[in-house]
Amino acid sequence: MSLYSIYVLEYGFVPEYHKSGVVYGAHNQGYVKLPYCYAVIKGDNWAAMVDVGYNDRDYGRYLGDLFDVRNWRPPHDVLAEIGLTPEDIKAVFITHAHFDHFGNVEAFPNATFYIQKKELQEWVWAMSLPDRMRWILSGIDTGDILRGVQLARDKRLVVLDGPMENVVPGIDLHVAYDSHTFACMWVTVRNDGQAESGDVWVLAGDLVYQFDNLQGASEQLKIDDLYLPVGLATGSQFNLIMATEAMMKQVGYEARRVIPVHEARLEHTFPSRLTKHDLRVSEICLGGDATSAV
Amino acid sequence: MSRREGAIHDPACSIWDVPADSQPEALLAAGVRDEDMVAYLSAVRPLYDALKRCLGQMGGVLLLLQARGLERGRGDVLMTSIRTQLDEAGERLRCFPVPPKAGRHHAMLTGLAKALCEIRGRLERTVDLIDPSSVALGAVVDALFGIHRGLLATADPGVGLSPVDFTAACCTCRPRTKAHAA
Ligand SMILES: [Zn+2]
Repeated sequence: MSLYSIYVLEYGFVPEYHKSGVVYGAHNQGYVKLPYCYAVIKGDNWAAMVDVGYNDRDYGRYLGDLFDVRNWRPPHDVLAEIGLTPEDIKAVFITHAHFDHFGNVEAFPNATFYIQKKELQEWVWAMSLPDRMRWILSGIDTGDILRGVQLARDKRLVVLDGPMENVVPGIDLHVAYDSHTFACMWVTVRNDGQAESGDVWVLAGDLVYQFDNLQGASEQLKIDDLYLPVGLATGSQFNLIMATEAMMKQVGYEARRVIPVHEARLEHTFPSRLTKHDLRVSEICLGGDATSAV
Repeated sequence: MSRREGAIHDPACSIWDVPADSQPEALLAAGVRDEDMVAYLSAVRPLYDALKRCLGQMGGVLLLLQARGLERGRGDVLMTSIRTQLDEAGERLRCFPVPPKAGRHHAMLTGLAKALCEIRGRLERTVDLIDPSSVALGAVVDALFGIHRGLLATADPGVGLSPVDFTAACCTCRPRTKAHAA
């Protein structure tokens, strides 16, 4: 019997996003829909999230105007689709500190947040660099750092120094250093609770944006099944590929078990539905005797 | 390499219009017509970013103190960098003409720089800021949030003054349709 149900919940989207942002080096290959999502892991009377999205209040209007982000909805509305409230969330695994993953911690008053120490240390260090090097800080909101201080004061921030097994039973946190960001995590769910599990799901954070990063096609190389790094690496493409291999190895190279959260085509692989706000709810798996939310 | 082949973004992509650098040409392209304002915005953008980074570093010092992640050497480097960046920003804020239209904007940024300097002085003595429940820590965090609100109030991402640099961030790319509509 599976321990957890897993959902990917869309909270906004960009209708036409450059393919080159999704796949490194995919110049002039047009546009794809890019959903913004977070993942929810739901057990008996316990629920966790992988990332929390961003808060529309501070700069949502700019994102809408400048980048055409549409249909942003708050966690209260998005979680209601699977019968949860933000207050139900007890743990949040922050894969990395980009604004669209770490940007809305205030919405979850009862959650303990997990993040890598190196992720925090390096971003803070990068802020000490001169203006001409500010590219490194893309996507980082200083407001999130301040909100992190508040979490720490409330003793709701767990700062990890490397990977951690069984952060709760059956759930492991892994780290890809100097990849998409300085210390980017992925979350592995061993859904049968076994150490040598036959039912593994990997929630990839931004180490993989879409299926193309897992099973890509290269016109130049005339290969149609290879790992392709995501469009943004603060670290290196090499480390992204190595992380992809590590994730794939954990799921026995069954690509559908590595879940990308910026993928609009999850509906082709998993049961799903659209909400009245035109946002997709994808049901990756159902735990125990849970009933379907789609 | 031709621009078409070399560009990560499609040459028609309107991301090229976002004046991340606030160079005068970019500001003109963004529709700022007043020459004095172009000069002002161009001069103020790096200072706005410096204040933002100082705020982030100060928040970071407190965060790492709480997380026991602030090694001695790292803390010293951060405090030195904050001091240098703040001194320089404060100095340069006095060194360029401010058109009347930007008077309040400039006054607010100058105020934020001053407030950051005061907190920096406070951060030099961190001993009583380690305890999460300390009153002193609460006061410093409140003051930093106040400065953050000030930076949001003085932001204008359309001309490069942004609380977050979205231009190269994951998942943010300005679509072509918008620019064509504009
Ligand atoms: Zn990211």
